[in-house]
Amino acid sequence: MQTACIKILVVEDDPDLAALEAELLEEHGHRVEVANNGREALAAVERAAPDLILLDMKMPVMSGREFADEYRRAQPSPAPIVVVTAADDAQVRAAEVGASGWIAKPFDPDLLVENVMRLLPQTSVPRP
Amino acid sequence: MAYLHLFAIERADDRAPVLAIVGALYLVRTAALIGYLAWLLRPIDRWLATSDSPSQPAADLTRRAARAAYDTPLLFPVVWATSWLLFYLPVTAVLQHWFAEQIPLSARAGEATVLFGLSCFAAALPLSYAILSWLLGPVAGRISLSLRERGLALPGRRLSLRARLVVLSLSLITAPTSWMGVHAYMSQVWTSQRDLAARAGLLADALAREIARSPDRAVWKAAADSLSTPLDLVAVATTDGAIVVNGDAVRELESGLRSRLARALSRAPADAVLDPSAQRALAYRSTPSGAGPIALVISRQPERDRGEELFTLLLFALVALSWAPICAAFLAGSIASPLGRIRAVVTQIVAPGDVEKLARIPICHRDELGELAQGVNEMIDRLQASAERIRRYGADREQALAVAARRAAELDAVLDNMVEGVFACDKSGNVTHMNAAGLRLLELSSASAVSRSGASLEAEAGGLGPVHPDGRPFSPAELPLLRALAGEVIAEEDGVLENPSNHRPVFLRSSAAPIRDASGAIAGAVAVARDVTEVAEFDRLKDEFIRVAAHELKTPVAILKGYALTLMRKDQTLSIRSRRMLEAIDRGAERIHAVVEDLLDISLARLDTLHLLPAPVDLDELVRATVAGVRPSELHRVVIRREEHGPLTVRADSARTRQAFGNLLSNALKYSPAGGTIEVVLSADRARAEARASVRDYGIGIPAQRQGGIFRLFYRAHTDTPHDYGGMGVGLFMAKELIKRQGGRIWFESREGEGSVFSFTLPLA
Repeated sequence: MQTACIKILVVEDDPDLAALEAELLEEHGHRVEVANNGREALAAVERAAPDLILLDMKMPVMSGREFADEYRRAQPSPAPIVVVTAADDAQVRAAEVGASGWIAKPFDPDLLVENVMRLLPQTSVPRP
Repeated sequence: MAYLHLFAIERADDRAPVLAIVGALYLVRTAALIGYLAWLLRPIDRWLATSDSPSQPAADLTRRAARAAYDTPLLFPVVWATSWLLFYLPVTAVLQHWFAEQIPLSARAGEATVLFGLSCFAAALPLSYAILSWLLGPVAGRISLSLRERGLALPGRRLSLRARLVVLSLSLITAPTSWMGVHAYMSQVWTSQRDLAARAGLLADALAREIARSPDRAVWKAAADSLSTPLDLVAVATTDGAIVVNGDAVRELESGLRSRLARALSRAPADAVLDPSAQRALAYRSTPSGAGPIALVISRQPERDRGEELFTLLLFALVALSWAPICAAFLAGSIASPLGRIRAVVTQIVAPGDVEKLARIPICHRDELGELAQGVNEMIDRLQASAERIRRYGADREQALAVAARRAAELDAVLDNMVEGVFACDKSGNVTHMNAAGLRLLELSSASAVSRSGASLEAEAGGLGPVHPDGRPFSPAELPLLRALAGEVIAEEDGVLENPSNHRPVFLRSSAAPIRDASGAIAGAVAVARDVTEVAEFDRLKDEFIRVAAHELKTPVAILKGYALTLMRKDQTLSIRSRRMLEAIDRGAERIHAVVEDLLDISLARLDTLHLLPAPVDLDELVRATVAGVRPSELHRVVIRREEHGPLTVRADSARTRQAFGNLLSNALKYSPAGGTIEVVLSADRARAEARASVRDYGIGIPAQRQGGIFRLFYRAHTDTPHDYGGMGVGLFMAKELIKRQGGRIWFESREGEGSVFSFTLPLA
């Protein structure tokens, strides 16, 4: 599978799951940064703008929703967000934060990658 | 003494034997009568002696005493009065027969004695009856009460008042009449010329017999003296009229009788000559030869003592006058006093008072009044019996009322201390009972005070402002109490009320049933409502907990599955053993995931937070996709059949509808034998604007007795049977919840051993 290499921010409070997501995406050549909550994620996007954000909804300190609101307010051109949530109404939650896609926990590892690939911005320029 | 008069026995010598004979007979008769009376009264005496003792007289003795008390006033007077007749007739006969030679008896003395006996009979009968019944009446009354107590009938002869009155009036006529007759006779005896002549003749006969016996003049003289009485001059004369014995006769002869005697003697040897003034009679008896002495008797009419006659007449009159009133008084008394007693008792009966205290009337005489008294007694018996019945009934009723009141109080206490609110209404819907909890429930949800008695259902309906769990307001007809009044039986139905003051929900679980009367008609209804808000809150917390727990489980499951799958796919160096272990981990995680999904679904359904996104969905396509997705084995055949070929676009949440249909399908597969066919039939009812899907299996079916709760959560029809294929009992519950929430209906038909058909509808888009 030949895909562009992009920068992905994984926002997930569970380190094991975050590690799994990072592992899967890095395996496909993406650069992955992990934030443990919304606050850390805000710091992360401040440091370096990601091409895609995988966002957990329920997190301590700052939830996914708060992060999304804050992020959109701060960034004029925000990166697409994929919601990764255990909520039963993932689709609704995704719509609420204006996400481009959603993945319900637990997810098939292949499905996660597939979803990310599909959502890759067409305009994005592969980085070295 | 009466005899001496009746027979006109004037001579002192004659009186003595007559008095002796008559007196002796009289004494015998009196003794016999007294003995008879004593014999008659003996049972009464014995009864009286034992009645005073503590032991009651024997029934037989009482009966005999009663008979004596009733019969003696009848029997004794008859015997006594008859004894007058029986006594005088023989006595007269004896006197006439034996003493005719010696004593100059009046020729009509017999008739006189019969008359006298009759008068005594007529007088004695009513008088003795009156006196005896007066004397024995009270005793008879006492005995009658004693008999009554023992329930024995009255013995003795009955004498009707009419008979008594007839006898009395007869004797009232007979007795004075015969007395007057006797009196008249006696006057006649004294005045009768024929009697005078006969008397003189008798004396002359007696003297002639003496003269014939002896020629001695001294004997003649002695005989003449012995025969002489103050009224009878006895003498002996010669044929030529010369007096040889008793010279007193000369003067008598000289005063107008001598010539008559001479004429008479020339005609007959024995005859009697009457004085023209009818004051004297001369009787003579010459010897058979015609010569010799002549027995001569001149009987003088006694000087009539007018004063004595008048006295005797007055005496008779006085006796007659006093006798009749005495009889009448006794008789009247024997009528009046029982009547008085009856009247007194009847007055008591009529007057308001205690019937229990009514005494029985003693029955003193066996006559119409006695029968009347007996009737009144029986009436009192019945009155007392019915009073007793009424009293007992009243007591029973009072007791029953007391029991009922106690039960009602107990019931009230129980009801008021119940946690459940209890409401009862009559058939027109008015609330007849509401316990304390019921009032609390009303107050909880209604700011307006509801009076316990006057609360009507409308007020209840208006005050409660009840709403269904989904928020639709209750119409009054939906109230459990009114529905029960219409005949419905409601068991454990949940409702939500809103407290108008703070708008907090009050969860009520109500049951209601109609109250039917004996004929089965609805006479009212009763409803029980329980505030289950706390329970509901607890339930909600539990569901919330399940939801959160399930939610929290998803991340660990995601980690398990994610790593297991990633390892299996990416690591080519894994040994087969390791790979199997990873597969087992993935399967376990998948099962946890399935349970977590079920739990989440349940909690969402129960918390009413299921998010459905209705959109037009092709049911046909959805069904086919689901069938394709759930067909895990080649063991079953699933046939999809369309009954008509129009578009089957329904308005539904695609994923949730797939879940519902999938649950039905997996149940059909689960409970069908290997190789079985599952039929899915799709149809549409355009008129009702709904599409229908049915899933038919030919499996084990559901036993009739287990069909009731098939859609209930955690209900498993085949639990503890050989067909228990596992599961949580969630599938049908969720299917029902999902279909209902999308405006559809779900139902089933099943027969044990033949299979089941589960159907649902969804509104056409």
